[in-house]
Amino acid sequence: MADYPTDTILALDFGASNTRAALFDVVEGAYRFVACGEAPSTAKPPFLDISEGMRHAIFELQAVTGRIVMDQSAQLILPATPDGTGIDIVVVTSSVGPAARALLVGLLPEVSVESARRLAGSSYITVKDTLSLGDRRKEEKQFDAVVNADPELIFIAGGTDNGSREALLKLLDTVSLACLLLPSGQSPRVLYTGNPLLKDKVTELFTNIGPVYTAANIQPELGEEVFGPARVELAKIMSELRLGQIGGLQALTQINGGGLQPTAQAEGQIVRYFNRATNSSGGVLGVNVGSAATSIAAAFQGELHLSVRADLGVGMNSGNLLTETTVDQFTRWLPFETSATAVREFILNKSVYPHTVPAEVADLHWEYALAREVLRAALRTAQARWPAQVLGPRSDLLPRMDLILGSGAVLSHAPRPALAAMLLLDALQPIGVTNLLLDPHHLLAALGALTHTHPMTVVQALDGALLSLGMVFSVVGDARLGNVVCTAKLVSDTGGETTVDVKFGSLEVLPLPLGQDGKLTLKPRAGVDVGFGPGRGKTVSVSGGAVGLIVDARGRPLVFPKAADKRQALVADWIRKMGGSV
Amino acid sequence: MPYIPDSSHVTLLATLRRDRMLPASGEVIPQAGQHVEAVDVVARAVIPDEYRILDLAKHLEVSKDKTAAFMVKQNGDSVKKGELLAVRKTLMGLVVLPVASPVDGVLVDSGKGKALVAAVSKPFELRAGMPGNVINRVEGRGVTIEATGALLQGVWGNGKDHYSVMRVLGNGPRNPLVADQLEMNLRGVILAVGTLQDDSAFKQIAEVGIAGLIVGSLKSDLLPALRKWSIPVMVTDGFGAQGFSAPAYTLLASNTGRELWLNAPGLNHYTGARPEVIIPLPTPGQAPGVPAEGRPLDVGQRVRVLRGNALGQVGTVAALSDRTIALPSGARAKVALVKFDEANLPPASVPFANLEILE
Repeated sequence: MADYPTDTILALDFGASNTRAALFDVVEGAYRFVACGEAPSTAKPPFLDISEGMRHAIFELQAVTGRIVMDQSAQLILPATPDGTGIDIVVVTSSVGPAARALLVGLLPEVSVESARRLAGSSYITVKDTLSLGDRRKEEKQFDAVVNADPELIFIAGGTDNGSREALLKLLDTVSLACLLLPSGQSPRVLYTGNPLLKDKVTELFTNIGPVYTAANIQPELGEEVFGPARVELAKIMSELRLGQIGGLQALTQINGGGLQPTAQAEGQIVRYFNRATNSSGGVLGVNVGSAATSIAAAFQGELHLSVRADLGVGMNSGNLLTETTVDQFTRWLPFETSATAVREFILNKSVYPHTVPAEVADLHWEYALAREVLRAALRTAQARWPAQVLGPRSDLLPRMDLILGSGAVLSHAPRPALAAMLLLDALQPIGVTNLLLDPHHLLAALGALTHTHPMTVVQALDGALLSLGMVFSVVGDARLGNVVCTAKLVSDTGGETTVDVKFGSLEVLPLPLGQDGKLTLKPRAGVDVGFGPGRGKTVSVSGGAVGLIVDARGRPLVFPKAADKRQALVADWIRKMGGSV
Repeated sequence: MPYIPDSSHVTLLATLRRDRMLPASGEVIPQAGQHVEAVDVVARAVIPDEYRILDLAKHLEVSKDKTAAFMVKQNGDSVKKGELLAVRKTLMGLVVLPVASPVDGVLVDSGKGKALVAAVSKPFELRAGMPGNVINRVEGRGVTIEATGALLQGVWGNGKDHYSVMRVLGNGPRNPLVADQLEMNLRGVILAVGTLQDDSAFKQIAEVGIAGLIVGSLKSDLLPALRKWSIPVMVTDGFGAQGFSAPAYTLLASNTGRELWLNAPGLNHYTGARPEVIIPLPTPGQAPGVPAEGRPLDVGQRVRVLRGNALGQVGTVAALSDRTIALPSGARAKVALVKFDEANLPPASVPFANLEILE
């Protein structure tokens, strides 16, 4: 018997637009990603069942690998046989389905309600209303608010340990009464994470209304947040909601023992894993830009901060961007003139035809302008929830990130790796030295779901699963557009040498392909910071990537010329520098 | 491996079944097998306009657990404004503590020392929407109606519905509505027009008093106002100036002057709800089939282009690629060779994802 696990793993991820099936197996003594298949998701009508999309994705996987994992009657073959047919383990992650409607109830709006909002914001949840002692509405209006919210989840977070009790119970009386009359007629799930002395009373109050879940107080002391236990219960609730909503999921999870992880949570596990593994003072950021949702997972000093915008994506939920950004913010990414009406029409058409793809070059620029603004809006939401100590003195800038992981179809299906890199750079605008990684096969969720049960698989399979786009050195400092702010000299291990005078406002790519290493010497002008302190230069070891080495001297935040023609010319120059055409 | 794209129905004649269900439990009126007209009420329910909460314990001057003994009305009873819900007499009847209903409605609950009264001004009535036969009756919820007719689906609706005569204005699928076309004899008519771009025409529509609007495409600036309109609005193809696809226009033009049901809920990708037009048509012979759903893309199918240079064009699939090819944008995708209906357009390779089947 082998002294290491030899299970064949099939990872299934169900997104709003796409379903992916990925195969992991032991190759030469270590787990490796073998291949993946992809097909349109079929959770929507006319199918209303994920199984059809799953079968198509698995057909594609079988066609690529020649491995049979499904029998003639489209049933998964479990366990694997010695001849290599079938699989041993099925891992299921999902982001498909409408955002769950939630009502938040707490004592103080800036304290317990805000903590509950932060935690709810880490899942595929839309907060429809909040009730607290700060609510000045009459009791009747509060009652109507509960009925109108028609919540699937009532999230109660009230009072510190041994704190106030009566005030919260009075509020919950109104909520429980209103729950008798919810328009959907469905029983909401109730999550109580407040003062533990009220746990039994709250359970009694809601026991006839819906399933009640309790977890440790998310704010046991004023200013202290403990999310871990509540996050576990929340994931359980979301999983149950999805199993009831999405056709085919229940049957699938019976095969794998009931395991279903929300995609964002699973990806968050990997982001935290990377952060703990690198053990650096910088953070690790993972972004997933999807059709219906956009998630931002940030880990600092081993702590994960997860933010999910379940209402914002580049497909079916792109229309919500119109209330989050201005036309000028959108058009600044385009290398050509356009009108405000055209911008609105592009976004609205994308929301009604979410699966369409850009076939022409100009259309590609529209698509990625949309993705940039969606990601920027999601980042704003996430950053507002990060603790002040990680934001540092410049809260308008992204904290220093050692690593940025990009996921989601708009990134993984980018026509060129440089376009994915540019989307990440433009939307996130990292500072200092950052490694950019792409998840081209959409494996982060699967690997995240395996971190607890198969940690060795994750460690081994990560090797080769992700694509290194390259290292980025971002320039922070003020200068006039066109002035030289830094000199970059790259000496590759193969002997090649490249020297560039980097001008403010420019984006430079130094050639260092994947698999090659080298030394990069950066000499910034006085006052300019390239990651080593203002005016400080350094020679560092560097590794190549699919794009190369990038020196981003466009300023932080990005500086655009005010005149439209000059701005368009500059944006066109950036696109060309990254190998694109306009 | 088949690719199953989205589809839109532009169906000249089919058997159509539509559920008409109440949002809350209520009374269902017709029996299974019964014929209903579009305006017939098929179900009604009491749906409160608002709720009022009365502190019984406080008004009756007793503890919360003692209020039940003083209730005059029971849960579920109808109440009139000013009618007594509860009363307590003390000091041998010398002191009377009454609690009256503040609204007409229903006493929903009177536990825990409080009374919850649902204010109901008039019952909610659900109409059939289209003429047809009731083929299924769900007690307390509603009915399924079956009819034969034409079906046209859209991509945007403002949540309203109406049944009335439809007239097509203009003489082409891309014809923009101009204010001069709007005459007072269009009052009460559901109007169909290629595209709405002009602000003055938009204002004129409101003055004429039409009963509904079907447009191929729309200037997006008009959306906020259209959302607030009390009449139904449906966009069939999208946002911009592209107008109707030729088959959609042909369907509407060939039925101008007929009555139709314009049912315009918002598009919901998860439930499949989408705006639609149903034009009831008689079928003297054998009933036609129900519209096909979920068919894979194939050679010979009628398709419409959803994005790119040929946006809105309709044609026939001449060939399908079995592997991905590089598009001008650099993206890779499987493509279909589409021969367009418009004779002056050369055939083009269109990504599968940018096509929808016209059923």
